[in-house]
Amino acid sequence: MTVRWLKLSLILFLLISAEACDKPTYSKEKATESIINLCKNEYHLDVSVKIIDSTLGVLIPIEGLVDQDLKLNREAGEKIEDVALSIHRVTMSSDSPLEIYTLVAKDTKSIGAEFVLTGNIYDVVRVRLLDISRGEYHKRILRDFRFNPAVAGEAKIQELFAALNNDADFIQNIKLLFYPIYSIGKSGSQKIDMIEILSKEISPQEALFYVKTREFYDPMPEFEAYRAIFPPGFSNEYLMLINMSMFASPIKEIVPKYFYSGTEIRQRNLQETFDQYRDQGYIGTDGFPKRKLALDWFLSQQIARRIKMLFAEDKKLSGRFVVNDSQGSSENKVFRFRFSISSNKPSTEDNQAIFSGILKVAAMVFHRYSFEDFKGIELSDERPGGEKIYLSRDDLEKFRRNQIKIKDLI
Amino acid sequence: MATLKTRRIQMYIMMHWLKIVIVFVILLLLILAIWGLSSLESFYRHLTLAQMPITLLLSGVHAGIFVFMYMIFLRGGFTRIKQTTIKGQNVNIHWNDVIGIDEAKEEASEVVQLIKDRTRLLKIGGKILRGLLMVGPPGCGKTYLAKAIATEGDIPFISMSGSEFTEIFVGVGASRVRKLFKRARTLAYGYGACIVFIDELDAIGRSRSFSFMGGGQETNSTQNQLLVEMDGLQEKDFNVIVIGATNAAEGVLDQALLRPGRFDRKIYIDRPSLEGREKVFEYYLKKVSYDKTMDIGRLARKAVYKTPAEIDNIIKEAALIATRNKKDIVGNKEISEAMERIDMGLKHKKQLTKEEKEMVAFHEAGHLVVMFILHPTDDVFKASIISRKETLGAVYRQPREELYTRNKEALLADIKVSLGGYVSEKLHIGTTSNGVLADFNSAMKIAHSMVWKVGMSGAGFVGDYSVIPESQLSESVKEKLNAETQKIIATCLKEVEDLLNKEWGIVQRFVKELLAKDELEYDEIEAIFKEYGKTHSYKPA
Repeated sequence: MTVRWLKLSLILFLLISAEACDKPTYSKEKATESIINLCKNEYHLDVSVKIIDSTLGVLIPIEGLVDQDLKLNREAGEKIEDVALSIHRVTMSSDSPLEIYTLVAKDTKSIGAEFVLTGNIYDVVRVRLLDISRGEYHKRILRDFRFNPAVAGEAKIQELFAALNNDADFIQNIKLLFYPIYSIGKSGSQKIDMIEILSKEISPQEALFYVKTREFYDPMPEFEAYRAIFPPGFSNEYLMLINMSMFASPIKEIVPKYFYSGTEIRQRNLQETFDQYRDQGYIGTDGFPKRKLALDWFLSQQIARRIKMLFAEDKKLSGRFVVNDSQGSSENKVFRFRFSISSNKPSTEDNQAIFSGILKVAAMVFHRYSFEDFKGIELSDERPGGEKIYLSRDDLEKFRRNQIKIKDLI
Repeated sequence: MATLKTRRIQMYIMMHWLKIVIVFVILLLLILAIWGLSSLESFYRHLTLAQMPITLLLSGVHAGIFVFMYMIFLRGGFTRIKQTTIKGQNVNIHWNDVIGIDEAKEEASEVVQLIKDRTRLLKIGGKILRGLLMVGPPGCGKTYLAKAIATEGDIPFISMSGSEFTEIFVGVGASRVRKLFKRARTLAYGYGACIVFIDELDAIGRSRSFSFMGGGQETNSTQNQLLVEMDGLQEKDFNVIVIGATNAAEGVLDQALLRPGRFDRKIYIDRPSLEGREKVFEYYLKKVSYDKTMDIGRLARKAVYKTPAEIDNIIKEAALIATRNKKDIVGNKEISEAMERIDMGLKHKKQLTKEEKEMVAFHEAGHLVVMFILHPTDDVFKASIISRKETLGAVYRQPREELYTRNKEALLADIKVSLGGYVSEKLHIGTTSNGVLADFNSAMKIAHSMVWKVGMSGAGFVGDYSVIPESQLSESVKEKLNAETQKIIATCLKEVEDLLNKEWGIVQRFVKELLAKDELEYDEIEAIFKEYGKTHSYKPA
């Protein structure tokens, strides 16, 4: 009797277990399509999806992302949650080797306003399995609600060129910046066509633009000779710096390729200058990741944000320090954190408290992710005369285990 | 009318409908679970499956706790699950296995015949047998006989003990009776008939008591339910026979239970006769290796009043003794030792002085000689001066066969045997010990009873004077009765003194043998008497 029941139980167990051997619900070939269909069919939302290596990018245009008081709209927030859930469902039940996802909600009205959600897919699995708490999970997600300087800047630049072509009064104030056509051409004969525009985010608020134009004009009689140098329809270039913190007039600087030095017409190599700048942004103007986002990059960003959280939330630290800036990056297997943290009541022990807090945060994050693929960590205080320290991975682990004290490091 | 096969299927459904429903629900849930799982996304499917073992374990633990609490607090514990149902052919006890109770067996075989010929009985218009009460001392084979009825009748057999119905909660017993009969009726529906055997029926069948305090209410309600169920049986088209077994006297049981229509038949199962005991010995000895030269008749004679269960116990004990003594077979010695151990307890040697031991030997030898020569019905089967329990020595006696009455001669012989020890001590050293206390007590009781109760005095006092209140009995009558009692004692004492004076040589011989061997077996005792040309005064009734 017992044997019969055991056999029956075994068969039932195998029958149910056979369900587990089934293929994943969303195959890697159809991951993109699955997210689009899921959002469309279940939430009636139109999204665009792009996969770059192991990074998934999802874009949802939303009308009225921000309220009049520049806060995230409640309905928009719900739509973002629905899309995020769709991403989680597909990525968790797929054999696609995805690692990081970005969800960008772009406001179709306020140009440049966007909400960016970046997360690690394994974190989603872990929170579902209750391996990490929901609080910890939320700390692991990168949330950015901002005006993308590249997107907003591009719109401003297009507005600028439109004004140049149409508004004679406006030209008078800035004509010297658009050398030479407004200096040698007859009034009203100038026309600038924008051929190419490239952008780089050089800080969270600033974007640098490299603009190529084709310019037309009719030279004034005294400058007829210039026609040989600048034939109508000649190619020109500009570098423009946009700072979104200067919201009313964000175009901070315009650098033309050609300029008159008093004796001769000279030109700058703007392409080279533009190339020298490093793009710090990771979301392109199209709303998708600019490149593959790796775990080390994700951790560097997370730690930089956790540093801010630490000094804002910790009872002992929050009243004592103010975080002005905290940036993280990862290069050649070395994590670098640059920060500017000022003390309300300066004392000799400030440095120890600051560095100790940051090291604890970094060590904890690496430990919780079991991340060991790095050589070391560099912390640099960006304030004038600020200290810079470097710890190898092993030393960081020793610090976590209290085998090294902060006073030994500073 | 449905065929027996169809009825058995219906019976199976009736008996196991709950299990069938549970299995069906489980299967349905399983199908739904598999269906549900397959509709889940693979991650959630894996998650559910991964959690399933711990979920099942926790569910099992919760269910176990619930069942435990339910059984303990609401159903009177797990002991209720004692009801056992066995098919007739699986009981496997046949007529041949029931031995030593031939008369009861004969009556039982009639019952079996009635069960088998039930259809014919109904045609004639006879009444269906509903109850059979087996009364008798414990260990005489009541359960055995009930099982044999089940086997021979080839019908299912449900066995329960009366004590299993009783519970501190009022109504639980009655509910168990209802369930028992419901089950029996279902089985009877499938197999044509069913036997419900209630052992120790007196536990629920005692005369009902009615107390304003409510005491005994549970027993009453249980018995009431039993009465109702037994009455209800006649309304059904199938046969449930209730067999009750009890050690209690018939008067103890409630009259309502004993009336015709409930326990229609009563079978008295008494201790086996000499012939019965021989069969019982043969039956149980076959189960062990034994000395084939043993006189089974003598064993049966030695085991007067022994029940089959006691005989079975004797053989088992003898087998253990043989094993301990590194013997391959069970012999006379082992059986004798087993009987002593069971009847008299373990030997417990006390350190006596030489004089004390000699006194004890004379005392026992006195009993022995008087009993062997004078007692008309009882026989001595062993004499011992080894202390057991409270006694320093003993002469073990037994009637040669079952006797249910004792005549005047036997009673006088009992008195003489009791006085034998006293006389022997007196003749030996001219004084006596307090070892005679129990003997005198016994002798005086017998003599008193002979005169006061059963009219055996020589003075013509006939009747039971003990029933007359003492205040109504004249002093002169009392004096005369007591004088008669004393006269019996005196006469017996004189006779014993004469006998022992005459046979003092035999007494001394026995004392010598007892001091040397401590114990004398029947054969040795008989041999010594033969040496002196003495035979037993046994007179068959």
